[in-house]
Amino acid sequence: MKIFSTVILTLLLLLVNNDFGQSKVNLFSLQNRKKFADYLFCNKDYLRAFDEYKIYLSEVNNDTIKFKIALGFRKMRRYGEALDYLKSLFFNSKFAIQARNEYFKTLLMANKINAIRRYIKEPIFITGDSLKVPLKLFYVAKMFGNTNLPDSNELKKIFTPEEYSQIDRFYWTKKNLPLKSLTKAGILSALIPGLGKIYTQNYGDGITAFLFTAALGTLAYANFKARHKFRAWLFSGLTALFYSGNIYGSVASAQIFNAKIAFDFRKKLKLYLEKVNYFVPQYNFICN
Amino acid sequence: MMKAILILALLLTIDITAQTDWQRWKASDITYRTAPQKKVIFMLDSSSFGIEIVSAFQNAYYLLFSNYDGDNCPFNPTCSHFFVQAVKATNILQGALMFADRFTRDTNLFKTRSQYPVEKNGKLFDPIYFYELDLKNINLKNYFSAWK
Amino acid sequence: MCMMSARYLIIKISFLNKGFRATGLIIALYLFAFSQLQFNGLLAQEYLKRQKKFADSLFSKKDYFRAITEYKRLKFFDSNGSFNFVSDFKIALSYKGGAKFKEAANYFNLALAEANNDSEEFTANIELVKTLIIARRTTRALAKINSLKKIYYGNKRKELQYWQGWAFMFAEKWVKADSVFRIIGETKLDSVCKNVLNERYSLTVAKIFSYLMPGAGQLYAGHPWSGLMSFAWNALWGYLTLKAFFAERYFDGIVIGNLLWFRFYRGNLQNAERFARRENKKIYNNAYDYLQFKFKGKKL
Repeated sequence: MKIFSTVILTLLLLLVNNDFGQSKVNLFSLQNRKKFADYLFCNKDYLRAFDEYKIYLSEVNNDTIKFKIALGFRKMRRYGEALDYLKSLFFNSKFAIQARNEYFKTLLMANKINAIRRYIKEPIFITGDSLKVPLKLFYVAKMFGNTNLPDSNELKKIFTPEEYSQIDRFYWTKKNLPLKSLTKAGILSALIPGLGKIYTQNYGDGITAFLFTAALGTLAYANFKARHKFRAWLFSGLTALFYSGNIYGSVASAQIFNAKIAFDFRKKLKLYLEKVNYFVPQYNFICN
Repeated sequence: MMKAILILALLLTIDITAQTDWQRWKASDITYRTAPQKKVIFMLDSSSFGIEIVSAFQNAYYLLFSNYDGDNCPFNPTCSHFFVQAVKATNILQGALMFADRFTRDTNLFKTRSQYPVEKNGKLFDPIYFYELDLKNINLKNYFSAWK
Repeated sequence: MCMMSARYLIIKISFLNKGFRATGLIIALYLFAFSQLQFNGLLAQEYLKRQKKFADSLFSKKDYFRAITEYKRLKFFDSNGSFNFVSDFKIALSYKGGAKFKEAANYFNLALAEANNDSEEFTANIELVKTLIIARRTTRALAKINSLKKIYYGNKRKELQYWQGWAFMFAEKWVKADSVFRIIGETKLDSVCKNVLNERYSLTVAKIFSYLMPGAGQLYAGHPWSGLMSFAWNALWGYLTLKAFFAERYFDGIVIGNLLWFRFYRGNLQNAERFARRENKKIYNNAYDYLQFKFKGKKL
């Protein structure tokens, strides 16, 4: 009897203990919110993660989380918000350097080439170590734009030898892009219909244009000879239209050709940048 | 063991669903209907006198001719649409030149697929903004995404 | 706390008879461990249940985006996974409510892998099939139903057949749908299918009509004006072609015949088929509207 009563008493005590312990479980406590948000973040469910993080940040200042939010926004291609979060980490934070690197990377990803040029001159970026990556991205940005390229020797100073060997290749490709001249295409087509199209490597279109204009011209000529005045003038008009249309089309075709080549170059450069993570060192604290 | 593998395989696919939630969405009404087929709507565009004339011709062309001669154009937009859009985007003269160029390219029997991106319905995508001679309009990002 | 209670136990037990002490200790420790597990389990369920209730309330308010967040939270903090099926299942339903069928199907598949018993598995399977049907991925839905029909018998099999009929309807295979509904005795749905079959136009008939007489197929499909225009164009170009040939202007004849007559003849055939298709689509959509708004029974 004595044993039983003791055991029951103990059990009762345990129950009280347990209840006391368990009632503390709160899924919405700050720590639990952070844990849950970390999990969501690693599953790329960024919006939900940010909702939790923002509540956490309203109580606790945490630069790691701000940094993560910025990277998440960038993943979602919401570059503006990403830049804002990164900017808030420029000063008095342990991510000051990383944030600056990521800031430039984000600008480049968002194709804000002019902004890169502007920001590189700001005093906060002209300090020793934090300038390393931004400066590299600044020079890469120059290759994306249409302005003058820097001197090749400048690149050598900034990039590591390994990077330089790649960048140098892009540099010379950019310098010697096989672009077609719009004027040349127009003049060629004016001389012989379709020649401009052949110059821009649209061979089928060039031959067709030549045959088409020639056929219309022949028809006009034949009708003038047979004194069918109306038909003669009609075909003359059509010949003129298609002749000038072909000149116009050749110029357009050269422009498209150039746009494609420039696009191709930019795509290759971007692929390389993604491969080297825009010269930014990788972190291991974001997701395990 | 099988269950574990299955869950793992599924978890890998969940990654895609995460991107759906990169924008907040709301409950949406589900409909059993299918979308009705597109109908050509005849409307006179009277934004300017020149365009009004072109538009009138276009409508007459559709009502009397184009509706009955089958689907012959390999391009999207079709040649007549291209002409109207070109005139609207530029002017009657440049539009005519763009149309002449397009018509020549249409008669080219050896249209290579590397020259134009192919759409789902097999049409060759050839938008007017490529031929306006305005470099800003040559947005290759959209063009190439249609390509691949 | 636990340490304190353990100490308390030992003090208590030391009061007991020495012979009983060892056994008493073992029993007490056993009970202690057992109760710890039991209460942990029970009370853990309690706060998870509360969380589930919260998520459910969001779900019933159709606040699906937030509901998914809360179900995900439930799943994340449920360390022994007893809520995995429910949360995945509800997440899938939420996505379905937002017309995001691809994600819904993914989560139904996840729920299937987490199902605790046969009935849960069957429910998830049926919901998956329904989602596939409504997303018009009917080939997948039908394949899934066929594989399930090999496992289930009796009432469950009948339900599978019911959804098979729906899948056929949404795949526009009305003859097959009709026969399925006849077999399982769904008279209402059977009559819907019969109606569609009676009303719809045959593409083959429309085309054959237009082959024989340009414009006749369009007339059959209810577009007399278009039929008349097609007939007129074909008559005109046909006349000009033949006239050229009779006048021995063969070049003109070939050009007109090839570039104009043939073109309009082909257009005439295409139009006949297109109008028949368009009209059929209207008929099908009427049937779908009936199913969605007036039909009383199990729906998608």
